[in-house]
Amino acid sequence: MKTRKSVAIGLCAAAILSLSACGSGSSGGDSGSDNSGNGQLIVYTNSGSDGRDAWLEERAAEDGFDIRVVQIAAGDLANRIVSEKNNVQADLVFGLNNVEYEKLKAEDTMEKWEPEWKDEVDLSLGDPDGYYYPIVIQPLVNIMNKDLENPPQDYTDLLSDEWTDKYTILGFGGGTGKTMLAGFLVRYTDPDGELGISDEGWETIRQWIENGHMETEGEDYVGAVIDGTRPICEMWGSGVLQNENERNTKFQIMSPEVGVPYVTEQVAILKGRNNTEKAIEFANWFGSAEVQTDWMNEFGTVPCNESAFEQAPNEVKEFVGSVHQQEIDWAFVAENLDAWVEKVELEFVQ
Amino acid sequence: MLAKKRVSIPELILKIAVAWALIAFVVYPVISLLFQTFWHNGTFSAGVFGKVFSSARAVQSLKNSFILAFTLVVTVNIVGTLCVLFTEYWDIRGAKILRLSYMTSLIYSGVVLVAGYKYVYGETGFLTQFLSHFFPGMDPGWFVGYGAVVFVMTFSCTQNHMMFLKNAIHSLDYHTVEAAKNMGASGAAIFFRIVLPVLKPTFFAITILTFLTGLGAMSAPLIVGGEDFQTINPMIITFSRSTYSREVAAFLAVILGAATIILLSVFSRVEKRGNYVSVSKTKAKLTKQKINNPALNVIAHIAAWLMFLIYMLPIVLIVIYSFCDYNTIMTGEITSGSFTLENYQKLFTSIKAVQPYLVSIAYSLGAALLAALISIICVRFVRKSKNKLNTLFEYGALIPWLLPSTLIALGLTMAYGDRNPLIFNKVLVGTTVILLTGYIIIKLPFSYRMIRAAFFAVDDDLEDAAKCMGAGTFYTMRKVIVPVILPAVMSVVILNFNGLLSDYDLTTFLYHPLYQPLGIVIKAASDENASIDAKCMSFVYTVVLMILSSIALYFGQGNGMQAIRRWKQRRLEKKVYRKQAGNDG
Repeated sequence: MKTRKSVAIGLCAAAILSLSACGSGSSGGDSGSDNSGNGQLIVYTNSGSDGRDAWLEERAAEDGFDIRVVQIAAGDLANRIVSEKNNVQADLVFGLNNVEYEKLKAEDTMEKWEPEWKDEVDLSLGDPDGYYYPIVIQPLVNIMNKDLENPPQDYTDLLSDEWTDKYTILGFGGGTGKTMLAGFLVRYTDPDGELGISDEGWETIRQWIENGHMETEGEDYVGAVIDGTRPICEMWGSGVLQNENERNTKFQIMSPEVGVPYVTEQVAILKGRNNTEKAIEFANWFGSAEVQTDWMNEFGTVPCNESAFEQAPNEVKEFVGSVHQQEIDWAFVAENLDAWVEKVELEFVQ
Repeated sequence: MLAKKRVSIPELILKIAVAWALIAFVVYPVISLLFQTFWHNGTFSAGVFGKVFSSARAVQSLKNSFILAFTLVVTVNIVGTLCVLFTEYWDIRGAKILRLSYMTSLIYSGVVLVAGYKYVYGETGFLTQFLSHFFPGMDPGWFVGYGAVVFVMTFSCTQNHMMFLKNAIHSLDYHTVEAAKNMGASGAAIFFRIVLPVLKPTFFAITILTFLTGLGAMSAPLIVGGEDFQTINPMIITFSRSTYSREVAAFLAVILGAATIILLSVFSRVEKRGNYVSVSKTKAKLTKQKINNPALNVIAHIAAWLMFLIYMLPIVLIVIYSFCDYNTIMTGEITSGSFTLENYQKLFTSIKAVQPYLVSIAYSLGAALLAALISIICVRFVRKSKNKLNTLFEYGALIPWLLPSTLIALGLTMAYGDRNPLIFNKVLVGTTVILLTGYIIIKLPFSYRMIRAAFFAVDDDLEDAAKCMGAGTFYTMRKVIVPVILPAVMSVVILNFNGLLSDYDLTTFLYHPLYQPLGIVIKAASDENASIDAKCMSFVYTVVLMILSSIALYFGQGNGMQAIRRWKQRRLEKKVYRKQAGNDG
C-alpha cells in the first residue's frame, strides 16, 4: 500500500513538473528547427477577418506560396509581436498603421527590406527608414445620414447645441476612435502645452466628447445613422463602402478643409526567422498591382499601388475623391497617443 | 522511524514541486508585473495616484464597482438560495422543469447573455412593448442604470448556488431534520437552526465569489449601465492593453485586490470559529419538505414560476434569434420570413472550422482537471500539516484573484518572454504550454476556495478510523475523502471547463498562432467591425457553446455517466438473454 502511495505522489509531482517540461519541448534549445516551420510562411494581420484570411491563403497557394494567415485583433497584434521577440512565431505582418509600426521599430522586431513595387506606391505613406511599406489606405471619416440637412462641415461645427447627442464617437480602445482623436488633437499642437497640445485644444476635445455620444458595447451605431436617431458617426474607409452595400443605403461624408486622417496599412518582415527571403518574395507578390487589384475587388479596399487603384470601381474612386489627406506628423502622434488617450479617458469621458 | 522517513520523501518531493510551480507561475509573474509597472529608474512612481484620484470618472467607477459588489452579495444570495430551495428542499410542483431553467445561468454568459435580457426588457424589448400597451406614458428606456445591472447580474450569477449549494444541501443529514420535527420544531426553526448552519461554509465561499464577480463586472454595466452606472473593470482592461497606461490599470487592479484580501481574511477568520460537520456517521437522504402554511405555499409557487420566466425568456429569444436574419435581430420583429439556416451553415465551411473546438476543449479540459488536482493537493497541505508555513500554499493558490486575467497574461509574457533560470532557461512565450499555464492560474483560486469548502464536509473521525484500520494516506484519500468531496470537485471542473471554453481576455495574449482557440475565432467572427453578419454569428456561437456546456454538465453531474452505465448493463443483459435463447434453441 505504501509503495502505491509513493508511486501516486510521485506521479502527481511528475505531472506538475511536466507542465514546464512540455514547455521546453517546443521552445528553447530546438528553436532553430522550430522557427524554420517546414517552409510554411506565418502571416500575422489584423485585417484578415470576414474571410480575407481564407481568401489570401487560397490565392497565395495558386501562385505557389504556402502561407498561414493568422488574424489577430488590432489592439493586441503589436503587443504580441513585441512579446514574442525572443521566440518569433511569424514571418511577416501586414495591416496595422504607422503608429503601431513605429512601436515595432522601436522594439527592433523588423528586418529592413525593399519591395519590387516601391516605385508604384507613394513612399511618403510608409517608413523613411525602409522597414515597412504601404499597401492599403483607409481614410477615416464621419459618415452622415443621407437626408441630413445643413450637415456640419468640420469637427468644430459639432460642438454647437444643434448637434448635442447627434454624433457617435467610437471608443478610444479601437484603432479608428484612437486615430480620429489624434487627427483632431494635432490641429492644436503646441510644444509648451500639456502633452504637446494647447489648452484651447484640450478644451475643444472636452466639449466635443461632452456634446456627443460615446459608443456603447453592442449598440448599432450605423443603424442609428441610417434611421436618423443619431445621424453622424465615425467610420473607417472600407466600412463606409461595406455598410453602404450591405445595408443598401448611401451616406454623406464629412470633408473638413484640413483633410481627414489617412491610416495606411503596411507590410513588414519580422526579424528572427529563417524564412526571410521567402517572406520578402511573398511581400513582393502581395503588394503587386495584380494581387492588390484582386484584393480590392474582393474586399473593397483602397490600394496604395497606383496601377491597382486605376482599376478601382467608381464608388471607391468617388469615395476617395470626396476627401483628402490631413497632414499629420505620425512620429509625434506615436510618441504621445497613449498619453492622450489616457488623459481623455480619465478626465473627459463620462 | 526509518519507515516514517521513507514515506515522507515522496511527499516532500511533491511539496517542493507544487511550491516551485506556485512560485514560478503565480507569484513571480505577478510580482514582476507590479514591479515593472510601478518601479521606474529606481524610484517608485507615485504619479499614478494623482492621476487616478483626480479623475472623477475613475473614482465614480470604482465606487460603483463596490456598490455593485455589496448589492450582489445580498441579491444573488437571496435569489440563488431560493433557486436551490425551490428545486431541492421544498416540495414545489414541476421542480424538474424549474431546475432546468434555473441551470441556464450555467451555460451562457457575457455579452450575449446581457443582450438576451435587453431583448426582453430593453427599449424595443418584448416586455417593454407589452407594458407600453397598458401604460402608454412609460419611458421605453427604463431598463438602464444601477437597477438594470443588478437585475441582470442577480439572475445570471446564481450558477455557484446551483452547483455548490445544491451539493451541500444534499449532504445534509436528514436524521437531524427528523429529530427536530419529532421535538416539535416548526419549518422555519428547522430551516434556520438546522439546515442553514450546515450550509455555512458553502455560503462563505459563494459570497466571496459573488463579491468578486461584482467587483469585476464587465458586460452588464457596459451594455445596460448607461452613463450613470459604469464600473471600473472595462477601464482596467482598456488601460492594461496600452504600455503607457499599464500602471493605471495595475493600480486600479491593486485597489480591487486589496479589497479582495480584506474580504478573504475576514471570512477565513469567521470560518475558523465555527464547527460545521454534522455528527452523524450514517447520513440519511434528504426528503423534500412540504410548506404547511397554504398562503406561503402559494407564494412560493408563484415566486418559483416567476423566476422560471425570468430565466427562460432571454435564452429562448437568443435561440430563436440565432435562426434569424440581421434585420430581425435589430428590429425585434419576427415574421415568418425571418427564419434562416444560413447562420448555422457558416459555422462549418470547411474541416478547418472544427479545429478551434478541439483546441479549446483540449485546453479547457486539461486546465480544469489540473487546477482541481493542484487545489486538492494544496488544501491537503494546508489542512493536514501542523507547520504554519504550509498556509503559504493557500496564499499562493489565491493570488491570481488579486489581478484581472488580462494583467496575469501580461505578467506571464513579461516574465517568460526571455530565457529565465526559474524555468530552466526556457522561453515560454510562443509555445503551446503558456496558454495552458495561464488557464490553470486563473482557475486556481476558484478551484482552491470551493474545494476547501467541500473539505469541511469531510469528517475527521472517518479519516482516523480508516487510518486505525491500517489504510495509508493515499488509500484513505482515494477511498474515504475523495468520494465525499467528489461532487464539489466535479462541479469545479465543469464550471472551469465551461468558463474557459470561450475565454478571450486571457487567451488573446497567450494562444499559439497555429492553434487558435474558440474564443479568438468567435471574437473574429462576431466582431462588429468585421461585417453585418457578426451579430447573427455571435448568437449562433452562443448556442453552440450552450450545447457544449450542457453536455459537460450532463456528464459531470452524473446523469450522463449513469445513462451510459445503464445502457451497457442493458446490452449485457440482452447478450446473456440471446445466448440463453440460442442455447435453448
